[in-house]
Amino acid sequence: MSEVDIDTLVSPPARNPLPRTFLGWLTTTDHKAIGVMYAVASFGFLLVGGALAGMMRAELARPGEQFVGAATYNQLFTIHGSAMVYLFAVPFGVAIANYLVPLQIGAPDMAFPRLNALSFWMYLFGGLIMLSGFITTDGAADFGWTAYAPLAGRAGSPGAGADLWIIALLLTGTAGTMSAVNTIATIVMLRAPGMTMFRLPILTWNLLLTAFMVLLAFPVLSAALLMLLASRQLDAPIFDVAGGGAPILWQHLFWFFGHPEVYIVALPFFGVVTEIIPVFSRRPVFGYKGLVIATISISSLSTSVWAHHMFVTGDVVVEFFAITSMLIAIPTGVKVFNWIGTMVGGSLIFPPPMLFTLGFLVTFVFGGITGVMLASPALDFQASDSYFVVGHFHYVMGGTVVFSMFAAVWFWWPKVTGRMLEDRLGRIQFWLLLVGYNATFIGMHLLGNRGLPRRIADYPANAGFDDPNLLSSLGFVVMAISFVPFAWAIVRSLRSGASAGADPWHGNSLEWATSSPPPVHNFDWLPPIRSERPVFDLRWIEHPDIGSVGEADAWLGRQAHDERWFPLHPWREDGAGAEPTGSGATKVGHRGGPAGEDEP
Amino acid sequence: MAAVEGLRNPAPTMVERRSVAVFGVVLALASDLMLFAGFFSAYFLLRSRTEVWPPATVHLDTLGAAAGTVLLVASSVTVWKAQRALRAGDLVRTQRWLGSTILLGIGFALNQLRDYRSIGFQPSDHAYGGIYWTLTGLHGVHVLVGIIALAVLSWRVSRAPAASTTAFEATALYWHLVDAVWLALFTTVWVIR
Amino acid sequence: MTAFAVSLGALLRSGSAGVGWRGPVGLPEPLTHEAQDLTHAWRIFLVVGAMVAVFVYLLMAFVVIRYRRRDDRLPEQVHNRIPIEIAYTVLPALIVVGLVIVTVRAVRDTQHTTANPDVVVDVLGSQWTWTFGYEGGPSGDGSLSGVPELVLPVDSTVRFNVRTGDVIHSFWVPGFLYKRDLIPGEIQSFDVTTSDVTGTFEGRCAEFCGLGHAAMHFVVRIVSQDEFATWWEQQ
Ligand code: HEA
Ligand code: HEA
Ligand code: CUA
Ligand SMILES: [Cu+2]
Repeated sequence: MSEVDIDTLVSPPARNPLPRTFLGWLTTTDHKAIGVMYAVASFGFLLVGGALAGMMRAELARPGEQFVGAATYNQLFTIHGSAMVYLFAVPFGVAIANYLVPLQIGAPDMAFPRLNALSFWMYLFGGLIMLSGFITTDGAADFGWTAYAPLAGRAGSPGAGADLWIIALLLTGTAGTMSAVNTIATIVMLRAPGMTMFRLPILTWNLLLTAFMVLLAFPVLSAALLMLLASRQLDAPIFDVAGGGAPILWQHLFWFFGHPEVYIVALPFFGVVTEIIPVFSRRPVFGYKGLVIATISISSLSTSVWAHHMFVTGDVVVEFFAITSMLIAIPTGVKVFNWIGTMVGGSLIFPPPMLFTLGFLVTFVFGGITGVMLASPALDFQASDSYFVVGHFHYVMGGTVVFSMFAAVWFWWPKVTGRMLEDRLGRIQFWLLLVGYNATFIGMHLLGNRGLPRRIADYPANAGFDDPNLLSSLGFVVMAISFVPFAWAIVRSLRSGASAGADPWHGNSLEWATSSPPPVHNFDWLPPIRSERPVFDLRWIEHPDIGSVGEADAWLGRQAHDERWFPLHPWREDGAGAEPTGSGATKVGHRGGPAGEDEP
Repeated sequence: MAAVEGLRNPAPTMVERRSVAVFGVVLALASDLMLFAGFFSAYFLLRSRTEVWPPATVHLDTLGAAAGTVLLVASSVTVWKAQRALRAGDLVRTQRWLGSTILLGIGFALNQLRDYRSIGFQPSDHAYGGIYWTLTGLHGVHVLVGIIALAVLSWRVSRAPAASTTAFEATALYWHLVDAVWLALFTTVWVIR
Repeated sequence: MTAFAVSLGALLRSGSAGVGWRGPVGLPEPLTHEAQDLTHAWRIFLVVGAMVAVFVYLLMAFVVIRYRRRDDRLPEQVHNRIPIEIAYTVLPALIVVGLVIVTVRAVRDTQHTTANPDVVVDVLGSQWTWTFGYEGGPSGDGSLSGVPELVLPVDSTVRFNVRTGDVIHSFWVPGFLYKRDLIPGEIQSFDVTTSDVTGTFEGRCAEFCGLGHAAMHFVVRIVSQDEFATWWEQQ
């Protein structure tokens, strides 16, 4: 009846396999190193975006223009929004995919390691190009992250910052597409024996569907950006009525990308909390298949709701898009209730990852409900382009991304570094963030309804806008302070953190069956994979309800069957080069490996 | 290793035969298709909002475009022949068919260039011009990339034929995609208008 | 922290600095019949939304307190309960159906145009001001009085034909609970029926349109029918 201590089965790593030198980082193709680089870079862009937000909040704290003028302010929100969405939220999801997918499916690396490195450097380069707009003479792009034509055309935005913004997005978009290809290929082709599709951790499922949405949506953004570039550089009047073009075309293309984009942002983080809740509830995820079906429905619905961003243009059939948008509440609700259902009857503890997960639930549900209000044109006519929308999307984006990102960081930090973060600091950070977040964004709903449009540097005094704005700016300060205990926790952990061992949280998925940090090719051995919780099954293997060793035969039979349905190991035609070297996971017959690109 | 063998699946599956790389290429091509889909939907949206489309001043050279179509379709056939020859181990024929593919591709590109020179309107003239040039231009870039890829492939086949099968499959798939997009483009721009 | 508490208090006080917000959650007093219908839709959504939120939050609070870890035993491993899962798919679906009905009704009630409006206003937005021209009557030019003024009579149907001179703007009168984008190349129309409320209200540009976007506002003055006739003569 007792637990098996996974740590006794795992040999500790001889040394941290992450690169040690600058050149090492520059040339690495190891998915873990690339995942870490993605995480660090996107966290850096979060700080940049947060600093820009701080400047906006400073300006908006009081009516009148005190701090920056309208010209600068317009650059601030454009780059804040763009950096947060394109350079922080999406890439952090990529970081998670890179680091965790191979670990969770028992593979030694991603399918295309070199492509992986290339996409990271393209992304980083693209991000720096976007920021470099600030040092051009006319400043950075200043037409909002949505870049509506014709304002984004050459007449409306003559500066070079706009072109840099376009090029940056083409680069990061292509990088994102490449990682999506990589993620899908990895999940479909490199799963360990026994890892059938319906035994994938939900996080991996979500990353798979996210990647499909990336393939669908990002190229459409690229197409729109290429047209915008052509209209700016070649004077092609595609969006210009004077030459027979249509400004509304930009909006259709942008939102056909833009709406799936918000789920591209959200789904990986939904996956994160789905990993965390079962671990700290000691329960299997409730309604696994329901969650998979819900994710699939969200992804497919998300391609047919884009015009809910265009209700007030008078150019779309509002009822149709209202209905499709509200339908998304149903699968999303299924997810929420599955998460709660996982906790019901469980045995719950609340270390920082779990706290942030609960914070995510609170903020996300709130933002989802305001989203459903926006999905009704009857309400959106008032709320659109007002601060109500700003409130909505910070609750969903911020709630989903910021809280869930910190949940992920606190949860997998021990795996990545081999050291623990200090719980106490995590709790302080959590409460500061929760208070700061809500103080910053709750009043925005009120502001919007009272008539405050978004994207303004200045607002009239004594018109009901002063107090909520001040509260919001104070909230930002609290939020910024919440970064201090986090930074302190990181410093302490790196300097003198307690050693984590392989399995500090008593986790479920395969990454906890290897050392922290994992060796170069991830696994020396793999536990049998009989469910979506192989490590849990192993830990409780002596528990009568979980399954005894006697089941192993049945497992083998099952496996032969599964393999026929879900081909598990790809073999290159010539059969060469796929066997991972060194500590490759040959003990369990794992044969998948990076392939393809290393062909001559 | 005996236990390991026991886990192996004797039945060959579809995925096993294709390599991971080809699967990746298929995904990448699918996303490339979405890039074109963006341009095509822009074309049709603009078309639906314009009364005279194409503008009265535009005279399309349908015959010229049809000639390009023939060249490109032929090149799809030759690349397929080359692939068959490689599978059969006939390197001379492989190179011959590959060479014909490259020539046909170059022929198509030249034909396209001729079209640009004679078409008589610029991207800046009207929205039609803008979408015409960007759509055909994007396709043209794909053709150029394809020609380069085919040339590199031919060089690789001459050096290490056995190790080129995957690259061959990938390049051929890409070339077929370029061809398929052109057929859609031809139908859209010259037939449907 | 005190400043924080003070501003939180100020936030919760309904209205501030003499501005009255009659509607729920900061919504302004409805100035048109359409706005009344839309306020009604807002109310329904707010109540339903609040109920869903409260339900979820209470459920979470209950679960978090009730199922704290008390001992080291492994709880029963429940993978699913199909009836419950169906229930929490169907119930939200029913709510959504209700909300769709409310939406479609509200849109139908507010988005129709009448054959013979009492007043027809041509609205021209351009960077960064407004011009209001009255069909068969005065054409108000914003530059005269500084802030452009839109004068409307009470209890009348008003047709707005909106268009832009340059980039996209959005014509928003918060008291109408309604806005409409001004898209280059398009002239769009919508009707409102003013109620009996008179007074001076704010209107603004809602779509980001460049440097002067924040300052692109106007004044809506709703006056009695007689007053409107006098004003019309004077122009
Ligand atoms: C992570 C990002 C994210 C997520 C997940 C969402 C989720 C949703 N969003 Fe949001 N949205 C944005 C990011 C996001 N949004 C951004 C960035 C913008 C602004 C872009 C810009 O203009 O700059 C925006 C704008 C936006 C608009 C346009 C507003 C406007 O500009 O006029 C609309 C309108 O329909 C909308 C709707 C929705 C809906 C219906 C959901 C749904 O998916 C929400 C579903 C979730 C729930 C409903 C909660 C849980 C469910 C239950 C507990 C079940 C029971 C509930 C009910 C029956 C109601 N969003
Ligand atoms: C994932 C997405 C995301 C996230 C996390 C955030 C986070 C925040 N956002 Fe924003 N936001 C957007 C996405 C996001 N935002 C988008 C898409 C827009 C629309 C843009 C547009 O209209 O085009 C927007 C717009 C927007 C506006 C409206 C601007 C306007 O319309 O005029 C405001 C105003 O307050 C705002 C504030 C904030 C604040 C205070 C945070 C805070 O949560 C930030 C928290 C971060 C910190 C507190 C970091 C603090 C760190 C430091 C201060 C140290 C700095 C050090 C170094 C740089 C080394 N955001
Ligand atoms: Cu006009 Cu904003
Ligand atoms: Cu959306």
